[in-house]
Amino acid sequence: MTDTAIKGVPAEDDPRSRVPLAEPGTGLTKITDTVAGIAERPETPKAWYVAFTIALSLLGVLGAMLAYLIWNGVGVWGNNNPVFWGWPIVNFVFWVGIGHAGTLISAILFLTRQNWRTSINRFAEAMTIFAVACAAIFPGVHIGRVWLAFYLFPLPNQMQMWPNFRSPLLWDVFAVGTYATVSLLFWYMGMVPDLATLRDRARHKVRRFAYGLLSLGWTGSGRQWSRFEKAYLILAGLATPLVLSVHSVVSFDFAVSQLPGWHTTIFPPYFVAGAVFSGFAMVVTLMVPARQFFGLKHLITMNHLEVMNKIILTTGSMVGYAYAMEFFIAWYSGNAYEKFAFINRAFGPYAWAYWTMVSCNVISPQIFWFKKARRSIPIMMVVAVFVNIGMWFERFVITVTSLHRDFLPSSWGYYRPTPVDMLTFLGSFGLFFTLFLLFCRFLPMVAMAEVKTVVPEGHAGHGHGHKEGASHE
Amino acid sequence: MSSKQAAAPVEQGPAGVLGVFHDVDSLLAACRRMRDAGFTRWEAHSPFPVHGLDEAAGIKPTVLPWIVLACGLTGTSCAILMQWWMNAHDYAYIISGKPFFSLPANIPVAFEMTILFSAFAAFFGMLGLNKFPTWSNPLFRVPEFERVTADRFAIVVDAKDPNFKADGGFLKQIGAKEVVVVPADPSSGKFPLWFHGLGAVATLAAMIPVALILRARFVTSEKPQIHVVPDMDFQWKNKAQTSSSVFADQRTMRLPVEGTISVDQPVDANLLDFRNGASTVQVEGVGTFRNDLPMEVTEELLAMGEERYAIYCAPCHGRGGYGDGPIHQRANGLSKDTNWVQPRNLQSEVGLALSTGQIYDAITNGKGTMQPYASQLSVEERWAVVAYIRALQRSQNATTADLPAGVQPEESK
Repeated sequence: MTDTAIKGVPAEDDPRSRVPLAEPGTGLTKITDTVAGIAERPETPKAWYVAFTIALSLLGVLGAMLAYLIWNGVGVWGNNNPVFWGWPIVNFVFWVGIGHAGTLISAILFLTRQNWRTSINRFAEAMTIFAVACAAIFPGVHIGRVWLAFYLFPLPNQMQMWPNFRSPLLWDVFAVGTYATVSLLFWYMGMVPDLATLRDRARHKVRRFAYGLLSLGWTGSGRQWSRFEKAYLILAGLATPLVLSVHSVVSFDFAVSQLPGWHTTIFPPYFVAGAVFSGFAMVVTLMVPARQFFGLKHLITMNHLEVMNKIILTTGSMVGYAYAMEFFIAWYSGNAYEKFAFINRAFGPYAWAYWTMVSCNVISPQIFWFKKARRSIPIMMVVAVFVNIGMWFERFVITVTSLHRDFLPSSWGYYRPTPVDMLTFLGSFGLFFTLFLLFCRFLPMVAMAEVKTVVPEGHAGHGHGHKEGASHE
Repeated sequence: MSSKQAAAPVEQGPAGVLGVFHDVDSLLAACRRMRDAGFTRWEAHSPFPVHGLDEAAGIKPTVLPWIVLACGLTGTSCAILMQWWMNAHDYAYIISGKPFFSLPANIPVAFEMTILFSAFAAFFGMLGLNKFPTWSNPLFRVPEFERVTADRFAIVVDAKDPNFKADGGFLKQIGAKEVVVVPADPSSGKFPLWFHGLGAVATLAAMIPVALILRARFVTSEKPQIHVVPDMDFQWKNKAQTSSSVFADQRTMRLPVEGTISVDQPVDANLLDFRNGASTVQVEGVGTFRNDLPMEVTEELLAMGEERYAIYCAPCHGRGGYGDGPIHQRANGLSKDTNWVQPRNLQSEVGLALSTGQIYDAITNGKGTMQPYASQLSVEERWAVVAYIRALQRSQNATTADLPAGVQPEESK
């Protein structure tokens, strides 16, 4: 907090002050009751059932499309000469990108002591894991004979062959596999103390058993906390370079191949910025309705949303810079093929996709320069949805525009997805939302133990001052 | 649930005593007094990590970081070793001319595996050091403990502590709002007998598939292999040498339609016949061969024969037909002790005695160690080579009588 107020600026708008991490008067008891109360509600709200039915139906669509694909082969997709990488890779990169915000919020903001993350990190981590699960489907099924998917891994086989470690596609297997595993460990480990809270509050035998099983016997002793905090710090330290490496490796899939529009060194940072951008947009998209619906407004405050909108503005501008830099390099390099690829990207047959991408990703977040827009629920929802759309188009533009103009003009073509492509992508949202709704219903949506450390009652020296106000018994 | 069990008679004496605190400050103050009073087996419990508790309760730093470091380095080494062994040693395969082992290409996987191993070490190390999972704990039977994971704090003194007193008087002195006895766990902590039985049966059952797979590795079988996924192992087509129900003759392989002419065979049957011709010779033990040329000898035919002879015959038989081609010279040069048989000297007595039919037969079907050249030379080309050999023989054994009239030397007149 600042000692001297700036003239004419309200205290909460002072840029030197930290945003309040939870609304005043939110004590230990209230945090527990609010968060645990959501998972403990005896009757599931009707709206949840409606949402869950929709999500399950979409999941069914995904299952049907995958079964149809596996039975018939990849010919049911629009992938064909010269665009052999169509929607499946676009969807894969889209979902992996979304999965970046969770670990970024959990790890990087933890290491940089951005305590405002405590209210949203659990939520974002869950989103990460579900997004990575959606992403993992696409490389898994695009190989054609899915029962041979184990060839992706270096397993001994009767042909005595080993995978090619000089290929970025194999690096991708390791990067995404590690990312999914570490995210899952990070998410689950962070949840153990909160699961113990749910265990101790549970009145029903089955609930007590289930939460008891998952909380592994947590008692919150000083030694447990000491090791837990050390493990959490280490995982955060590990996840930070990991999260930056994953999308870098994904970008190598493109950058290492010698194709105009792909073979550029800007790809790794450009992809990481884009991933954070799309991930934060997805967090906002999900967070705004969830905090409204589950009554978490005093924990996930407007200040939290504003900070996230600032990150969307920053990363959106970084992505815009990357788009411009690609054009500059295409001209500056003097490479005729690179130049053609970019002129064709902006003014060729896929110009409509390119300009959709630019409008959604670069232009729409610029409204967040205004504080009123950053704090307006309708505006941030519209921008977040635009960014989600724009980031999907970014991957589409990169993948398809570079491929549809082959080196051999006789191979030039126009890629069109089939209905199976579209329904599979739609179905992947079913998987995402099914998992997400289950998480919202049964698990602690906010990291209770972490939020408790940032309210006044959680600190030594504050206890007595707040004792009267905070003890609700 | 807990209250029912807490009311059960305590037989083994208490497991410990629990004091409840309501805020962080009184917990930290109480911890310092516990530590200074010389308690050794006790724990402070809180619903969130309390900063300063490690110091107040005298908790030593954990060894976890060293475990993570060791596992992380193991991950790096394993990744580098794996990539070297798989791509540079066990299955070295040239791909786009890239080196088999080069660090830049192996960094991403090495990095990811370092992170993976370290993360496993951090997670499982934390579980192991905390002795998780410990699903049974006497504290879980105390109703007062239930709020300690929500909004209360507690100090639990173990009954094994030398300063332990069941009345918990010291805890009251240092500010505990409530003090309760933690009854010992009434359960024996052992799995029931049926669980062991079930476990044994399940373990044995789980070994059956493994045993079957291992058996299949070492036992041969006459039965066809199991096709879990048929892929394209079975195709709806008739293969050669099988019967067919479609055709009257029940043969899958069809004969050429009558009168079919092969694209690369001459129509003239006379050219194919090397036994019967305008003049024939009887070779003892082999049969009759023709000794004429079925084609008209023209300059073009001889030119073609010369060219083909130079390509296919000269390497062994030599440009002059003396059986001294470069292959023969090379074979002789290597060692005198080989079983190398000199190619037929076409200028020798035996060579000169060969009929045209015999030469054609040798070119078409091979002779001795000579391979057949039917697939390299067409029928016309073979006869052209025969004609050329005849010309070659004549050129090497010519007499003045062979010279045309008018250019005969003086003395022979």
